[in-house]
Amino acid sequence: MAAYDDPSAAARPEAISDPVLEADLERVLTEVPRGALALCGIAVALLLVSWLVVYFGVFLPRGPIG
Amino acid sequence: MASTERDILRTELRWAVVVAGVVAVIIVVIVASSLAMALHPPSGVERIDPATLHLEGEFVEGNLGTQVGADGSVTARLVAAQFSFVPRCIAVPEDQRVTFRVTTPDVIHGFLVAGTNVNTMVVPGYVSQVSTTFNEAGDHLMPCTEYCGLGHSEMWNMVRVIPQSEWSPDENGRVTCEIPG
Repeated sequence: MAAYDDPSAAARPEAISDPVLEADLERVLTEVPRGALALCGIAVALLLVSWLVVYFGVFLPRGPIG
Repeated sequence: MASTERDILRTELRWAVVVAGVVAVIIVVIVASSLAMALHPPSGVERIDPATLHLEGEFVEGNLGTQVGADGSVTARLVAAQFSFVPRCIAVPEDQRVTFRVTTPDVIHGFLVAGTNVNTMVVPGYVSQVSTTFNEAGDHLMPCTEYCGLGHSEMWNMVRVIPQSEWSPDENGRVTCEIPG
C-alpha cells in the first residue's frame, strides 16, 4: 500500500520495475535484431512477390494502352 | 552489450541495400516491360470548345459511336455528360486496336473500361484519347469514375467486344451494339 506522502507509484523504483539481470538483458538484445530482420525480410519479400504477381498476372494481361 | 552503435548502423545499411534492391527490381521490371510493349499513359493534349462541341465538329450526335476508317482503324467517339455517356453502348472488334476519343460539355468525368487498363479523366475543354486492344469477346462495364454530381452513380455505359466473325461495319463504316442475326 502506497504511503500518503508518495506523489505516485513511480516515486519508488521498486514499485514499477522488475529486477533484470544484466546478462539476461544482453542475451535478449543480441537476439532481437535477428528476429526483426527475419520479420522485415519476410514482409518485404511477400510485398515484392505480390507486386510481381499483380503486375505480370493482372496488369500486363489486360493489354497495353496508348 | 552486443548491439553497439556500430552494429546497429551496419544492420541498417544492410537493410537499406536490400530495400534499394527491391526498388531497383521494380523499376527495372517497369522500364523493361514498358519499352518492350510500348506501354505509356495517354498523354496527348487536344483542346475543344465545350460550349459548341454538340453543334459542330467531331462530336456532333450523328458522329458519335464506333467508326471504321478508310484505313481500317477503329475509332469510338463518346460524349460524357451529366449523367450518361452517349451512346450508351460501344461496339468494338476483338483482336483489333481501338481508339476511344471522349470529351464532355459540363464537368469532369472518369472514363474506365472494367477489366482493361483503359482509365482516364474526361475534362471539359479537352479531348481524352486512349487506345487499346480487346482480346476476348464479351461485355465490359464502363462506369464514370469521377464524382460528377448527384446522378454520378447512375452514369455507366457498356463496351461490347464483338468477335471478328461477327464484326460487320455498314456502308458508312459504323458499327452499333445490335449484332445481326
